[in-house]
Amino acid sequence: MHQSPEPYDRFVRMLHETKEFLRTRLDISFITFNYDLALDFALLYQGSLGGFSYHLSDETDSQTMPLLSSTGRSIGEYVVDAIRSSHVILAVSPFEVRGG
Amino acid sequence: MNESVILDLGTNIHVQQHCGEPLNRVPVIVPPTWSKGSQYKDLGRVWAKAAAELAAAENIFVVGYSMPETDSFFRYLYALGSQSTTKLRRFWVFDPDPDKSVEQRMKTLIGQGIERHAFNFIRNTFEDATGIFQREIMSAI
Repeated sequence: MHQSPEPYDRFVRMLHETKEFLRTRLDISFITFNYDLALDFALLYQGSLGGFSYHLSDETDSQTMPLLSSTGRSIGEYVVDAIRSSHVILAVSPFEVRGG
Repeated sequence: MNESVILDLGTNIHVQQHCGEPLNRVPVIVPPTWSKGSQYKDLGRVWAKAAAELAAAENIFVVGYSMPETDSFFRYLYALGSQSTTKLRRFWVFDPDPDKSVEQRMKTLIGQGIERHAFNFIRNTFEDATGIFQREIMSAI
């Protein structure tokens, strides 16, 4: 059973709750510099934010949240996409999360 | 020396699919060097997209990334992404940073202009940052 670390699940749940509360599309991008898939798993298995894209091809759906990785992990791809009205960018480095 | 070494790390990767196609079981690993250059051209569009997202962002939250001196890639990426007319409202960094070195590196990166009007350094972890994120995202949208 794939599972992301709890802080990541909690983070994605928070985004989902915020989206539901605001009743709007969140304009968020994730840029990640790490090799693990913690954020990927949280976004994939919670599945509540409408999908995300690694932008590995030119045909990427512009409606999905970018999850962009400097390390190019191929199953997934460091913390930043978003949603188009206010662009929030988040850089997350899971290896440096204390107690995570 | 330019040798290809196949690391068969993902025994179950090939059973996963992306856009209906099985994933390549040979993973792509890009070492944490400053130059992620021509040998990784297939990833160029990802990094270009990252720079574009940085350029379009009004709010940037950096979580758990200490921007080590040895990793210049983020500096270059940020430099590209900061060439923009978009007004940056927040550049917030979350890190325990016990010796304050991360804060100093971030300030050096962004410059005095952004430090004055958009920079905030919060000494806590990713877990502890979630509540703050929620508040700030709601006020940003």
